[in-house]
Amino acid sequence: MKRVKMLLQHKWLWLPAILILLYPVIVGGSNYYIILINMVGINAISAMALNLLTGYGGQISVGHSGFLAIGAYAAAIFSTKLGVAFWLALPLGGVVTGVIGLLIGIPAVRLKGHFLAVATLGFAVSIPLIAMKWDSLTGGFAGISVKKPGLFAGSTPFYYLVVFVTAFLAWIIYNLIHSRLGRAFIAIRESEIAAEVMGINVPLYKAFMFALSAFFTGLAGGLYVFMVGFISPNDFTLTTSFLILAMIVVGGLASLPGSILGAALLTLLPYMTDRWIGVTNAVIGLAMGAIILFLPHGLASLWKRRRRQAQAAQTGEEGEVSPFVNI
Amino acid sequence: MLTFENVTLAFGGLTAINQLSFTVREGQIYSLIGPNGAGKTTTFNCINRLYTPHFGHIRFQGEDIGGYKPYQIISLGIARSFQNVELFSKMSVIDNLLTGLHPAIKQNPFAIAFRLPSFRKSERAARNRAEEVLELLGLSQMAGEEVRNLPFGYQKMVDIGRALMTKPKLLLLDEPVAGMNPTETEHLGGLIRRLREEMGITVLLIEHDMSLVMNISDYITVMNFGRKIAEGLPHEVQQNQEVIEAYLGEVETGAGH
Repeated sequence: MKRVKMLLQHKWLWLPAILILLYPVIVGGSNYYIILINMVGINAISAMALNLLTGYGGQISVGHSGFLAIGAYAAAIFSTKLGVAFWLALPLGGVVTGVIGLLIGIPAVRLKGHFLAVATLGFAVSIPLIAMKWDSLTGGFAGISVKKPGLFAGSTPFYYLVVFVTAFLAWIIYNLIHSRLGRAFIAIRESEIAAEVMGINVPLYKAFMFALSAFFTGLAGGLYVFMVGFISPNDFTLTTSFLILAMIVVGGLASLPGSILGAALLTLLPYMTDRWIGVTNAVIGLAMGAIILFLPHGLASLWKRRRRQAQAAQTGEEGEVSPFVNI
Repeated sequence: MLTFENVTLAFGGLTAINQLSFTVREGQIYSLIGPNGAGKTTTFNCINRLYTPHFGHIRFQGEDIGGYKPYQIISLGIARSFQNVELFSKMSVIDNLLTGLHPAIKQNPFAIAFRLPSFRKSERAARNRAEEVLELLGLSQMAGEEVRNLPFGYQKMVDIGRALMTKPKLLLLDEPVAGMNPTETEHLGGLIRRLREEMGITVLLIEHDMSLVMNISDYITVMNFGRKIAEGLPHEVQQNQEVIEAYLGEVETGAGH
């Protein structure tokens, strides 16, 4: 509660908060624009989950599209084949993904850097193939259609659901990071030897990190399938993995606001440029190049820099506020 | 308290530790000295179970520690600082210390995720302990500072502080005053004494700074090329001819490491 009050003291946070809450009204209930922001939320969850693993824990993964797919398929299968209610199918999808993340994490514990990247890459490539071939479970090429959840069938109610889930998961991940668990993750990133000597069971925590990250990513996948109402093998490919990785690099490694900013930028850019065929990738590439050149610690470093300046100056002078920081 | 019995460890053809035996008694400040490459840090790494000796036993309070994993050693009551400061450099000073308390904090993931009262209580207790240690080391005003921004001398203190968090029975210090000036060295010597006297911590020390070693040690073992070449009280070691030849001549050229 104290932290919430502290957040509320930042007056400039009120504007984006109100904007987010009134957004469906502002865009006149337009499905197109609502789904756009839903995608930002879903990608933000994936980006925060990946940042937990890569930014905080120092373990690289380009396999997160696999976790998104598993979360989406699991939620879809629970809901259509087993008739599980939406509110239960979603977390169950997350749990299934978490368990698979743990299984991936156990061998990954022995791998580092490039080797870990290649192993997770193999995972990302194999999941769509498995989904394609395992007809009886996944519907193969045709995919699975999911009935939209009753209460959240309309795009506006679903929008509020996505906003709530994103905020709630951001809070949970924030709590995890600022605890014994999060400190152990960061310690492993900084020095495995010292972490071990300090009593941290490094292999166990690495596997656990994978499981947690997969769990949250699986929830994002579940949200996706209930939003779109459909999942097929090609919805989450290797490209998705790299896009999420790009989000946390652009937004800022080991930063939750950065994950959200990066997700927003790299979700909205393709939509804003899609009327010019072929321009999208060039724009994304240029944006990434520019950010890595001028803000090597990501968009989140703008906010840190501003705070440092404010601390240094302490004259109460109103600094220039970047629009990115306000989201 | 800590006993080495004929411990031997070889890397390929190089025998890093050769039939090393010594005993650290409870309440002692025990120093391990010797020229570079004598096997001192390797000895620490054996105690931490980062290396497994090929022969011999290491016992702590009578128990062979050969069956423990590296991360379990701190729970036996053995903590350590590092020669080249293996701090978590992008963490704040206080977070480094809190990480040092890892094995002693009980928080379940559920309580953490939802910030339940049990979590907040244990976190508060951990912070109190960290503040206690910061005060002891005179680092209180730097609690929020990122470790990589601190001067080297302070980093060494944070390293020691992190090792102290769990209230260890045995503290392994690997060259704690390397890079410190004489005043800081004297200050740290006083601190090591206080750890022993006020907290009953037994200290095993690797150090090249002879003024510190001769000042505070109760007992000294001298190593060279993995072997023990002498042991005894500080003044005995100082007069040992073999030690003077093997080691003290070397200090001039190889000081600092």
